[in-house]
Amino acid sequence: MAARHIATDGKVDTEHLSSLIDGELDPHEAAAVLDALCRDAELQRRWSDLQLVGDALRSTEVAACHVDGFCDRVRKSLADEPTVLAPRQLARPAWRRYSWPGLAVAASVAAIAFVAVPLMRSPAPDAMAQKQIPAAAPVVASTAVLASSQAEAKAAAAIANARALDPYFAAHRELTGGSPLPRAAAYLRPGVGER
Amino acid sequence: MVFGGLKREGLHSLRTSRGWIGALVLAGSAWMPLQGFAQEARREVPRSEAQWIQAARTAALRVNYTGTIIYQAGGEMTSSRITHMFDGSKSLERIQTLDGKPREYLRKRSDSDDEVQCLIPESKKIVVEKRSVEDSFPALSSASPDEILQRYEAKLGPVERVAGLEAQALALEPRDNLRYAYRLWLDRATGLLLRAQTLNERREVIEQISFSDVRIGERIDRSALKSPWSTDGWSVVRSEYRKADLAKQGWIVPTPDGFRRTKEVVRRMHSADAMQVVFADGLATISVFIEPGSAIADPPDDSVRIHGPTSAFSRRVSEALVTVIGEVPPGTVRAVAQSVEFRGPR
Repeated sequence: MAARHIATDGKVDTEHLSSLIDGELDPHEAAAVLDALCRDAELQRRWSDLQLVGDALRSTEVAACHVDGFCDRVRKSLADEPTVLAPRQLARPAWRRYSWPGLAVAASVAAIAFVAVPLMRSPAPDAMAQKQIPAAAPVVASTAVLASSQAEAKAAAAIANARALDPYFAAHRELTGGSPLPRAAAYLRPGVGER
Repeated sequence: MVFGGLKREGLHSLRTSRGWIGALVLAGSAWMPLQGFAQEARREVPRSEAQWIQAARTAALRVNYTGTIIYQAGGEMTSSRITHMFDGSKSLERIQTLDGKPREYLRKRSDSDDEVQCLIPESKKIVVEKRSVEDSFPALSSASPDEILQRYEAKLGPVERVAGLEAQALALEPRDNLRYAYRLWLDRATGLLLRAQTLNERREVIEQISFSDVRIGERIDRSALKSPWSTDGWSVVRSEYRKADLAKQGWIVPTPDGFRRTKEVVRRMHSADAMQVVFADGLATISVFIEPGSAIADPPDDSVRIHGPTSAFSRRVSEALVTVIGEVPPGTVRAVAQSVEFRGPR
């Protein structure tokens, strides 16, 4: 794992940032990249550029938010609201990841385009929550990294737990069609036939 | 005379819901040129909300269609190819996944039977699920409009364009907070569901299925409904369950408000017998699983797990693990799980 070297040699490049955004790093790796991000202004600039590119791809409205002072305002409101760091939705991405690991990238785009809920990805939900923080609030960020290691154990449990749901889901779908949407939907859902 | 019966029923619903012109259009092989005329005529006899629901239900089974379906839920998106044919007595359906792992789903429905085969090439396996027809409740295609309208307020929306066709929008708002809201778009000509969305209490779309392209009412060759995969030597896995009486075993599972108990069965799960109770309201469904003496670890916390429109919640009751899963808001699965009681066998 390229990202594992980060902790030892401290080198973080754009690819690592990109992996972090795509949710491809495990919590340990994500923490290392975030750590570097907190210390390195150049990395922060690249991070910002990457986010801009991603946002522009998804929505012109969101891209328009990349104006001077916007990030500062977001940082400030995030700093005023520490509860944002709580990894409440671990179970959801864990289940998703188990079902369809290959779709992570497509899914992240779809989440913005069609579902008006920000999607938190499985490996580093904390990283997602704190992505605007590092430059202005390193103290808050490192607290979050701590929280992330605690979250790691929880995440592992959540993944095991999410897998445990699969047989229930299959049995439920079998007797109900699974969804009020056309029956086809039931068969397009993840986990079908994986038993 | 199964065929005759079906045909009469089909014509009857066509006549009541959209008049003779609609029936003629469907019956004629060259219906395309008539379509504009038919729509003109339909404008004079608007369909009610209940008639639209009925039309959607009939069309899903009785109309030939082939197209690409996009499905989105829980931040995922996948597309599939669907081909559906009605041969006068049976409805045949084939779904091929276009993303991720290759899968094919072959479905056969008749008056007495409903079977789905899921073909899994990498493990050379066919998973067969069989339902009796009453089991297929509560899909939109079999729920009665009245039942749906008791729990949801239906409102016709504007006519919009979906997958290149004129579609009537129909909103279904729940009358309480136990269920989600739905938005449907139905083909104006046939009533076929072209797009459907599930919305949470914040009006966010949490599940969506839509045709991106579709051809309706064309002749479909039977070969288009067969998988090209050779399944010689594949293993066949059948799911099995049998009727059960939970009350007899001492389990009280109250029916949630505005739902109907549709099934009580025992099935094999985690290599032990588990009980399953199913509730439905015409659109939404809930399953309650009870696994006595389950060795499965307790849920790590008391949070509801959510995936797209599906919520799941587990808790321990007496010596059993109770898991509730359904296409309903998180609060509903939690409340249902908390209402489960064990009073000991009678």
